[in-house]
Amino acid sequence: MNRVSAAALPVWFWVFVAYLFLPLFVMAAMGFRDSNFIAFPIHQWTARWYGEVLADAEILSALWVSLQVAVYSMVIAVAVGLPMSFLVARTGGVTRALMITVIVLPAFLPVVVSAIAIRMFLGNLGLSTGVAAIAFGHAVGSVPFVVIMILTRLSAMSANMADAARNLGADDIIVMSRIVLPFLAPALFGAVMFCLLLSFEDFVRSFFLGGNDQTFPVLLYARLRFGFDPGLAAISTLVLIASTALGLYAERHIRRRNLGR
Amino acid sequence: MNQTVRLGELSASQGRPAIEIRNLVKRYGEFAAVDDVSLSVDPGVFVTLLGPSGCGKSTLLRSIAGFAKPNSGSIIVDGRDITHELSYRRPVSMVFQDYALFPHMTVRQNIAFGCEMQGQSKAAIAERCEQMLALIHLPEVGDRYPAQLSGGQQQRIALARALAPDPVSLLLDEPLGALDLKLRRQMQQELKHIQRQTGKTFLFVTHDQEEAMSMSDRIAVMRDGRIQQLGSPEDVYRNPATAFVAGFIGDANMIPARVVGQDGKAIVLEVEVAGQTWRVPASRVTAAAMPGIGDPVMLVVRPEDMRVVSGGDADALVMPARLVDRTFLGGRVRLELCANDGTKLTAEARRQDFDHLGDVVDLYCRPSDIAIVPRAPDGAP
Repeated sequence: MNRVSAAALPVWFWVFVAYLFLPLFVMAAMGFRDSNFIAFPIHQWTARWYGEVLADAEILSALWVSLQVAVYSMVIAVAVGLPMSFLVARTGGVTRALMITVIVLPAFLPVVVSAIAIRMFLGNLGLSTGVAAIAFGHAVGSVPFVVIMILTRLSAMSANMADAARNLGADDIIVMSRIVLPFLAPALFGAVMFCLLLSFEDFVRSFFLGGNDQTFPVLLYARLRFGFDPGLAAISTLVLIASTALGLYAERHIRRRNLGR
Repeated sequence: MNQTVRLGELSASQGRPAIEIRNLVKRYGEFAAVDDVSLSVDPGVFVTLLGPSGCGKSTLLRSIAGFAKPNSGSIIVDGRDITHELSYRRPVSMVFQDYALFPHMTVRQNIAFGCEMQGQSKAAIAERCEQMLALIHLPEVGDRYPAQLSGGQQQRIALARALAPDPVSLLLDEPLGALDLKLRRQMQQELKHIQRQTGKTFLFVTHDQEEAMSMSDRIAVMRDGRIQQLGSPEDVYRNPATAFVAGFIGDANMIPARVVGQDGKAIVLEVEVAGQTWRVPASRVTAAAMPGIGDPVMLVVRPEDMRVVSGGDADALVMPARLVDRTFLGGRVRLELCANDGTKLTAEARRQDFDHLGDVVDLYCRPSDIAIVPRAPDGAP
């Protein structure tokens, strides 16, 4: 048994890795194919697709929409999630459990359902489809993660820490700005990064709430209807590299802060 | 170290107490955590609030710091009534049991925090930090983060942080509770040393009577939200005001008795354990009130004052007891004995070679070593 697993488990692991990353490598390679179609083998290599997509106004505008949506939804989610975390942190017992359940619920709601529900109520809020609508939609999905990440950090805070600061002459504003928020910084940073990535990769809400404003994933979907071309592969590869880099940086940054302090 | 001694002179104003508490009451619902406590602490004195958990000592401390709002009574610090003052404007500093250091700040930033809040200049703050780090003998750790330090070091940083803004008084809420025994003993010495050096008024909370005895100038023994006795460690040990104080501080033999009369300056007591009548000087009534004829009392005798051999005193009181157990303590032997009616007694002796377990021996104690405290009629202390 031991011998079998000793040999089989690493194999299994590498099969999994291949399953995960092979499509990505193929995609990245296709971006360099000197042809209008996607096919193997690649006879001639070129970097022209990369040049072309970076000059493509439609793609750039979709990336710009995505960026705006990501930032707005992140700001809303943090602005809503942070005070809620403080409220939950100082509540106890059944009320606390209930509050957490309610806050976390949107994360388990079928995204399609929540997207349609928000779409139906947009008019009542005086909003039309577009960047603002998508941002609100994304914020709904992000708040649970913001609250959970901040609550986790808050629970590690000594109950006496704010009192200690007050005792040394800090009023409530200073306690918040010099003690509580800096203490929460790693969690806040993580929450911000998570919100941005979560928003950027969302398709369903963006699709339902976007109207004429296309986010990047929605544009990709639209382009797919005209068939694959190496340009799509190229831009997808760029996005993959950018978001992976951001994610790795965020992960390292948080870990370093948590370890150092 | 002349620089640090200066701290004391600033706040030690002549003649008035550093902390004065008048009739303080703090209730949580029906429960009175602090029940009509009055206490006056002179400048530069190390006072310990000692009592079992739930006796209100921490609540009293938190009331002074402004973290608990008293229902009535007043708190005066250095001549100023701060009963209704916001906690961040009070001239007292607190040291917490879990230290509550700011984990995202370096040690130096932690220590500087209080001075910064007072608006001191950068140069003054920097100088103060170095002074404090020298005071706690940790001059090298200024740039480290609290998580990189040991428990004992963190505890000193917490002390330095509290002392840095030069408060009138330091409030210490079981600050040694999280340390292991050896470190604890060491920190007790250190804390006492720093208190002497700075001349600060220390109000120290603990449930550890040994800690209280070894560190304090004065001990306030608390129970059920009230101060049962306030006095020097020796006074509290020698002259306990209640049976609770006698039992909480050190070991004590509790011998139930009843007052049957008065004979000049002596109180005549009927001691059921011994089946005898004892005469004890009325000055040995250490309770607040003199008991009347017929009142049940408790005679408190410390084990070291119980002798198994007659000291030759003519007035020594004697009672027979059976030797039940012996514990060798090195220089002394601790004897567990049982009186005729089953009351357990403890005595200390120099040698163990005089008797065998099961033997009935005579126990001697001097009337002047007895403390007379009140006893509830049902026999409960």
